[in-house]
Amino acid sequence: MAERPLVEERAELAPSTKRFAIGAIGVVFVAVAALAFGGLGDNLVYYWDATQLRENQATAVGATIRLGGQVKPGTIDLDEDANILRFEVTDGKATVPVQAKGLPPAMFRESIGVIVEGTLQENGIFVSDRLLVSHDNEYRAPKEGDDTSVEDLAKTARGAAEP
Amino acid sequence: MTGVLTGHWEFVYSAFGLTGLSLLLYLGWTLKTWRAAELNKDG
Amino acid sequence: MTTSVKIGLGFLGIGIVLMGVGSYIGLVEAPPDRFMGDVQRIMYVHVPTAWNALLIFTIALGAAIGFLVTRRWGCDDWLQAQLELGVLYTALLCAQGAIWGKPTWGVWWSWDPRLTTTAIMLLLFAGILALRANLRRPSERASLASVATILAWITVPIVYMSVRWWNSLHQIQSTPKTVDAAMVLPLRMNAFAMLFLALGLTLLRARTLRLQRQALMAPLAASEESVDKSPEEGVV
Repeated sequence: MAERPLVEERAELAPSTKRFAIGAIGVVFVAVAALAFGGLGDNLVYYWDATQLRENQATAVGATIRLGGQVKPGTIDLDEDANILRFEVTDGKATVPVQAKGLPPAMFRESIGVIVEGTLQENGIFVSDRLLVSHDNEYRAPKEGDDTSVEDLAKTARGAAEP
Repeated sequence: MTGVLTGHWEFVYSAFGLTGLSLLLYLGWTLKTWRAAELNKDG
Repeated sequence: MTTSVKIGLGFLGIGIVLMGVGSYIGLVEAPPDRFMGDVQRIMYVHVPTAWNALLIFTIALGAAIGFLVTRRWGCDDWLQAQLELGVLYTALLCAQGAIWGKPTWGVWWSWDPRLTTTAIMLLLFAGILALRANLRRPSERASLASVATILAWITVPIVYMSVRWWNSLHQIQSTPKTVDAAMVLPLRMNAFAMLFLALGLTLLRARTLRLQRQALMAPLAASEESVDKSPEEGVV
């Protein structure tokens, strides 16, 4: 059937279009409200923090999960011969010892946010086969002077990482 | 392990290059189709 | 040239110059981040792309509602242009994010809430473009795409809030307080640059789409009655 056409400025709509449109706007409002205030997305979990993992230790053992938190200062131990990295992940309340393979991403340091993927062993150690380093929303120039050599950056980083 | 990422400009250039190139390609296509449409209108 | 095309070309000029200067400052003048080093400079394209992608889809929402309320074809032309640009910006956003993620997070991609919701947003709007491409009747195309755009827009606030509603790998939004002053200028310049580029491209696309739609509809019209050209129709 030929479109009633033309170079008219306005289109003709089917009578149902307006009802669909109002329905669509309603769906958008309800869904955003449910997400924002109704906790619709509460069971959407990307990672567990240390406290949640400790609380659910019995069910967590053996399953492939993600653990997220901060690297507890003073717990990093890199065994270069065995290629194993050990550290503790904390959320300020609980800590979980983590054992990861190989070298971590360059920004790995004390107090930085990490997310480890792997499994919790019976002995309470989280064995990770993937270590992700997260970054916060702060962007800062190196503090000391204009010299941004690797050594100075490293010094700044160590300073900032101290609690 | 210094905790600091240094260098790796290739990532920076890739991100900027990809962005610039994509925008230019879309701009070029936009201009091309616009001109064709104007010419078509004038018959 | 019609006025809208002239304004569009002007915006494109402003956008290109601003983007050049902003990127130069971001790549050369601005300091590196204390931890991320030079890789942090990806922020100067990534964050402007993100802001503008969400803004463009929101303008698309306005065009969709505008079409349904006024039935003006002009709104549909804008809708199509915004959908194209929004999809382009969001695809770029994901690619830039992957390039930034590899050296910092250690992975190109992870199914974290921010990344996942962004991917869904991209697929939904790309789907609407595919839908439009397969509908031949202009009024059907416009009304279906408008309703679909309203529904798909739901992902925009979800993408924005995802880093606050859920645990995520992606950091939360930066504010001028969390970004050093020397980094704010190139960030703002590129943000406005990408906005001007988007607006300029929109004006040109809308003009093109208008001409294409008229070419499609005019033969049908001519068979019924004489075609009256709209007054703003200028000479090239």
